[in-house]
Amino acid sequence: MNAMFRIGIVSLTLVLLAAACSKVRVQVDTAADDRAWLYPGGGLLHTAFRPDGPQPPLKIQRIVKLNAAPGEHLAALDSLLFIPIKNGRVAVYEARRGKLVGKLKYPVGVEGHIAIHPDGFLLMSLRLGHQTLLCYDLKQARYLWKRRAGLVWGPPIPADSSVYVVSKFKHADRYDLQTGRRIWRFGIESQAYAEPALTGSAMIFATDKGRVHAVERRTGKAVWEAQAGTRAVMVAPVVALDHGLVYIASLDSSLYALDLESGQEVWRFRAGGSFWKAPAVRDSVLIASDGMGTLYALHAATGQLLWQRAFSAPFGTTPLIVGGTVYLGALDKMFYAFELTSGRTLWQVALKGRVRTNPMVFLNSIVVGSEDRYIYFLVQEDMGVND
Amino acid sequence: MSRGAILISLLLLLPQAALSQYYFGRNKVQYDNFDWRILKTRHFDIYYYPEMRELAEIGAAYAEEAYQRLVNKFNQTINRRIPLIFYSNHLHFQQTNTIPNLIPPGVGGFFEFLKGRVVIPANGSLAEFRRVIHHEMVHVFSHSKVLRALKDHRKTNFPGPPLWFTEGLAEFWAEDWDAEAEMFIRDAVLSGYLVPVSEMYRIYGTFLMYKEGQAICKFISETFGDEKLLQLLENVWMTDSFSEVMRFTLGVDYKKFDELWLYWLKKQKYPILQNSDMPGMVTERLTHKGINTKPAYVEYDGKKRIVLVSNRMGYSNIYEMAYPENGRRRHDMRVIIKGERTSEFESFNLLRSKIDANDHGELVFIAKSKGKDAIYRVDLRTTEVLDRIQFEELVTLFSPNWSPDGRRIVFTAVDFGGQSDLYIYNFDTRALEKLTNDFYDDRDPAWSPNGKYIAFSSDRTATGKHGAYNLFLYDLETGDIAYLTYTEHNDLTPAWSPDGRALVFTSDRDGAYNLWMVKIPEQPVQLASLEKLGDAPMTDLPYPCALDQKAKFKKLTNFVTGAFDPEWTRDNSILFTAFERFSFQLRRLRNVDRVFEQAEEQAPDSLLASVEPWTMPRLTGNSDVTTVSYKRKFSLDVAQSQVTQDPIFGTSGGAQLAISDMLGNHHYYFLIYNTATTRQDFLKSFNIAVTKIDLSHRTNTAFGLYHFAGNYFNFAEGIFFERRYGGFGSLSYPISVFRRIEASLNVRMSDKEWYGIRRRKALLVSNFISYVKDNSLWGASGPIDGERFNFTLGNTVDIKESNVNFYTLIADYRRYFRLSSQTTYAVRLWTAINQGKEALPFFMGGSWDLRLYPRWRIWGKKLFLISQEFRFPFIDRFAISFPFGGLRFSSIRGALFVDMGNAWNDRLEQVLGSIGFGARLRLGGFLVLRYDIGRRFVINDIRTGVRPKSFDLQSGMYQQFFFGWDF
Repeated sequence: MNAMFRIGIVSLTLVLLAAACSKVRVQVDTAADDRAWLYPGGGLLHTAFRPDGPQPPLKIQRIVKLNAAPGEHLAALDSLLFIPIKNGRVAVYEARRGKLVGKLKYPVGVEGHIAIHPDGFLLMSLRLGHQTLLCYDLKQARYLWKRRAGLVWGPPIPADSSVYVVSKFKHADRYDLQTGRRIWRFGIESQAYAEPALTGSAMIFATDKGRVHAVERRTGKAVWEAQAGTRAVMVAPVVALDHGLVYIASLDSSLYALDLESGQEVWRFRAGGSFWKAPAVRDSVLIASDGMGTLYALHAATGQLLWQRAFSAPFGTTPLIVGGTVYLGALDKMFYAFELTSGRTLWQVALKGRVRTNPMVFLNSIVVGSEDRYIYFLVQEDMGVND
Repeated sequence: MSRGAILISLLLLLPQAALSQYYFGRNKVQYDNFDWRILKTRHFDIYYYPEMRELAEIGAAYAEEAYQRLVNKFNQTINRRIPLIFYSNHLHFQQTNTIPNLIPPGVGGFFEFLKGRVVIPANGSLAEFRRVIHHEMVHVFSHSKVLRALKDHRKTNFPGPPLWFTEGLAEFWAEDWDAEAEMFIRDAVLSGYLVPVSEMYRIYGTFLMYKEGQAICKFISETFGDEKLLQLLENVWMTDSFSEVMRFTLGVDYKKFDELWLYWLKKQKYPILQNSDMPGMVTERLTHKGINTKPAYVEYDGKKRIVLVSNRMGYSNIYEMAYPENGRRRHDMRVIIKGERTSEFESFNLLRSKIDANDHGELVFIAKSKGKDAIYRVDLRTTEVLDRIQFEELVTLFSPNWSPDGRRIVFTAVDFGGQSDLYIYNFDTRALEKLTNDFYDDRDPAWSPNGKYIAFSSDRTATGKHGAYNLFLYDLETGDIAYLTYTEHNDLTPAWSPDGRALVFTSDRDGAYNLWMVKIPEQPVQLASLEKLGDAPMTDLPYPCALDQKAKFKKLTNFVTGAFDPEWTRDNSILFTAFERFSFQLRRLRNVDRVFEQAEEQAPDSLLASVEPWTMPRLTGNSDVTTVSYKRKFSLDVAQSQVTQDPIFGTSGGAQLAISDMLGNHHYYFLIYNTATTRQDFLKSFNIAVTKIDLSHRTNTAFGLYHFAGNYFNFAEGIFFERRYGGFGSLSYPISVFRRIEASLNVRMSDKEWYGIRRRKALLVSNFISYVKDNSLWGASGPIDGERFNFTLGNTVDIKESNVNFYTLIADYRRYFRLSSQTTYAVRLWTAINQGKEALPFFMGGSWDLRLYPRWRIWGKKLFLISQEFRFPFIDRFAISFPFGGLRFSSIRGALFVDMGNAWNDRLEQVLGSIGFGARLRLGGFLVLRYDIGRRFVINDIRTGVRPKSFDLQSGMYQQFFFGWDF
């Protein structure tokens, strides 16, 4: 069970009270289940794996059009789906009503990322502006606090009573969830783009110089440092606790597996193109795609190539593993389902734009977004009704 | 004239302007009729003509390779088919109609974003062809990335990244940092003219801007990370200031970036001086102004001469200068051939093609002439053209070199299909012999003094795939080709010593182009021929070869920047072109033997037994590749609507539309406009025009139909209403780039009403014919050399009611005399006559003709104007600084002028004139602001003769501020 679920199972039921579309208010009601997709990669370890969920063949149950392109990472809380939009808003979709029920506007109209704390806090990080780390209380429909955290390129990660964030201004921070007070700051030598992964005790992130840092979550002290190539790492680390490894996908076309305790390189896999997207992992299989359009399945513990497939266009999303199926969106507008063990295509559908919003499991559907402003809800063919 | 009428008039002019390229202007001549086909690959529609099928397949492979590489680099796909229009050579490329502009020789290709077209010529070198394809594909991806970023963030009307960045990125991601880029940046840093990012506007669009942009991208990649280059594109939505985008992305704004970049460059480049020299410090400079290249040394009639190509006075000419001896420092130059003014010598390919002269005093060179290159043989004594040779299948020619007997030449030619090979032409027998026959680029041939061999540079080496050139030797007896050098770098322009025992050439083996020399060994040479590779025979052929272990092989010069085009003299010197202070100048290296002896010995080249020439990639036999014939499909170029408000004429509105086909050969223009002020007038006030233009043949044609109605105004007739409808046809035949004949026929019904005065109807037929020439050379604010004229004759007659019948004569002649490299005397003679029944008046006055008089307030059916102007540089750079920023202007030009003229109907009574001073400020690439100040004068009673008392210099100063180029 991922660390994020150690905070307890809380469920939320939506009561939308906001009159204006810039306000979103929810009421904490019952306990949530552990499938909630609160963070990028579905959890603090960014494994992008769910043991169960919709299986192919799928069908498009619903398409929601936004007024600008959706962001890279979506988040969900019970029947609420939070969709960051690149024109500086977060749209809120409510599954039971089947439509957008509200929008939250950032203080400045710029692109941002989101993550959700299960207690009903929406954390937002912005790529531009002065106050770039925001905490919004969904129950009270108001900003709890706003902080200057530098330009933040990836989502903040809330865990326990804290928020962890890395900045392009060369530091990693921990903030108090309730007050926004900065608890510690860890200076780094260069810029960091992607969100950190959180293990029980450590915060792990990588920089644009290929440096990987493990920092003690409680104190902000360095645990270890490692080098993963010389080029930038643009995506979040992925942690496989079973194997004691953290995976770093680099623009230098290599995928590095580092020992979780020491940072030592355990294995390295050289691909044909740069890694623009994070991998996903389930048990012994690691799925990754490179910028040349090749999909790889590696043995998670050894890095041994299990299979690979070449496609006409690169993938634009992080893989999502649901049971034995891998879902992936591509830059040629295709959305695929592959068999995890063989790479065989199980199902595919053409969407309206390049698929760049990472797929996630949302209730009984797979949700994915394309850059032409669309969010798609895909359900198993034997479920639901087409709109 | 009402605003609506003005708009309509301008739009009516538009297709005609496109056809005739305005009143003056040079011509884009369609010398060839191409039978276009389309090669469809996975991502591209490749437009080509059958003669270049092989080249198109190679280009297709390069394009797909570039696509795959850039998909990974940009993390982006192009989700449309990319039109890629190939030409087999630059002269064909200059005929493209995909853009209306004339294409200068230096343009290697372009990306046109309206239709998303990429247009690229080959020019012999496949490595260069590949590089340009990659360069333009970077533009395609950059454009897509920026558009996506703006669309994603709902941003409109945002300025894109600056040109220095987009071009720099295209250069940087298209090729490795090469010796040419290094040369420019070294020189800029060490000579102190490097332009910082914050002042990049000073070199907007120049070659230096490209190279600095490339260097900046290299710095960003190496210092901040390669991905930052992509982020600079992705982050353009953040703010409309690229300096701020830079700050958000890199953490530094322009000012700080400049500090970091300049310091980084100095750290790199200053130490190079420790072991290298600027050419100016160690060699003798022979030329000073402009670009001076391609020296040829010749002795005839007992005189020692240097012939060279130079643009020292603006136009490129071929000059002859006395070979400097005995410390003589002044080098008078005599023009042998005037270039760029006539269709015989349109251009000389200044930086690529060498020239040569033999001991008979015969010069041989290449010039572009009427759509193809021609070989010219010229008597240096008389400058008489002895021969002008063009070949049916050979389009572009380069670097002719005389045989020792002075009767034959060897040269490089690119044929219609784009293949570059060596040829020999015999002036006595008129026979053409092809020496090589493949897609390798064979260039810079040099005939050995004993007449047996031809040394040349070629990419037919194993490393040629990546753009490397080695020296080879062609044996004229056997036809064998042997390596002379072997390296992964560029060995170019071999030159034999007069005794044939040494070869000097330029090479970038150590990062900069320098002169290298190999001398014949005392012992026999071991050679490896391409055919006999692996069992290379021992031979006793006596020529210098860097592969020979016993040969003496040395680097003659050690310049920081570059040395090119070596040419031996007979007094143990070498002439060459050196780059320094952003200029190519002729230099001399004396005492070559002594320099050679003192130079450090270099290790000989070694040829691996496994070396084989590279093979070209091709997309053939692939299921993804199909071929179809080109069919015209029209797509939108311009669409706009407009509503105008006028306090007198009311509200009017309309729309314009322009469509064209992918190759730009066929255009349609549509205009619909309504000028009705009342509901009753609505139907009859429609202004509609449809025009079709065909540019696919040498004779450009246009025809159209129109209906115009509305209120008009001019100072001669006041306000009147006119309804015109009819059709027109026109054609333009370019005799050459510089001259053309235009003709038009216009048939229309005209219903004209002068309010409260009279109304007349007429069926008008107008015929015009014009002869136009323009070979002017332009400076910052207008022409500075050459001439241009427009002679037009026509008549307009009412064939139904005989209400109108007049003829038209217009003669407008302008001549520019270059007094020095910076000053020009310009004169304009203009007369226009409309004579007959209801002849229309001409208008003048204002900043564009008779200066210091109100604009268009002088009119009459006859008109004359004489303008004289002395043009000179006024202020080169002008800056105003404020605490919050500043304004900077450059190239402010001055003019002293005298104008005389008038317009009249029946009798010319007086001549109006003005005399004064003007200043012109060029803003951007297209707008010139003009300010004139001075006094008017009048010459009265000219019918009785001009006497001193008839001259009246009026009191008071007049001034005018307007815009427009100098006449």
